[in-house]
Amino acid sequence: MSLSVNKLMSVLAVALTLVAVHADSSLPSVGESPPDFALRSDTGVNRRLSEYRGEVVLLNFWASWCQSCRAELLQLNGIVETIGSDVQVLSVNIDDNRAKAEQDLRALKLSFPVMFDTDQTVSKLYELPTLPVTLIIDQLGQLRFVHQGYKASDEIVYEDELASLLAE
Amino acid sequence: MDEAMNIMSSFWKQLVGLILMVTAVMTLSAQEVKAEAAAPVDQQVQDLKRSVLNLNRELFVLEEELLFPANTQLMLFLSMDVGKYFSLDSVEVTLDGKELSSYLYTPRETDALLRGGVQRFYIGNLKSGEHELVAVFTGKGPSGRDYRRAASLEFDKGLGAKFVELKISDRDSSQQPEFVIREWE
Repeated sequence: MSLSVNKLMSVLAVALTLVAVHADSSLPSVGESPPDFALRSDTGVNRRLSEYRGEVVLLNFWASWCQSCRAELLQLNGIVETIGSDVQVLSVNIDDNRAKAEQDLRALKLSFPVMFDTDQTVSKLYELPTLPVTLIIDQLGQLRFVHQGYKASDEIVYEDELASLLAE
Repeated sequence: MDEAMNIMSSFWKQLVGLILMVTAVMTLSAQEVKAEAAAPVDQQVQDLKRSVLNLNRELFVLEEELLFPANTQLMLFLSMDVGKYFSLDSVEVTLDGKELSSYLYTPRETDALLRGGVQRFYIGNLKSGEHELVAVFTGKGPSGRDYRRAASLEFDKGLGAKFVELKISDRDSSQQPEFVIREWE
């Protein structure tokens, strides 16, 4: 009996590992250029990711129903205030209802552009496994750091990573 | 005794001077050797980069020739003239009722088009025969109002590549933008 339980546990462990590996592998890989895209933004200007090559970019994906996304967005506001214009913070809202996202934006008062992926083409392109997702891209347009989910004080890690890329 | 001391002092001065001179000469020659060695390596790296770029270009051309043979090739280009009455936001193209391609333009891209740039909008394969191409242009029209217009072209795809231009221009007589699709001969 104990043998079969052990076996079962082993199978479960392998399955969970496979699921975890699969979840990690769905996002663009570190060291590669993330897929390019263009979206409409809250300022009325269309924005294309590749046009920010030469700058350090923090790209954040969020949705209005995601509470930890909202907490993270407020912290990203703080990063913009601390680091200033040296880093380009871009966020992509993946709600299918743009009006709902805009309602949230009025409350959040973000100091960086928000793009709307209402038909989820970009979130499918990036195969987002969870929300929020934060990607940090270097001046050469290569993905350097990937963060899935958000917990308090993650923004300190972001700031360190951004500072290290700015120093390169 | 004083004379002996003077001779010794002069000897030490000469020795120190000689050592300094030898050190200086060795340093200089080492720097020259380094510079000589570095120059070819730099040159080699540059040559290597150039070769990689050339190879990449040749591969790109070869890939396009293989993927889109001249006999079946369809290429669409987009150009913009003046832009006084229209600010481009996006273009969607359908071929025979099926979506072919769409593109969202950033201010930098529309600026490049207004300065004479031509965008290769689409490249693909198309079988011979009659086809209908429809392009829908959206943006801001006169007085900054939302503007959406369509243009269409019926064409016959024979043997050889087909080149089609989507052209946006200003019509001063009506103070309206004009959207034209035309074949390149």
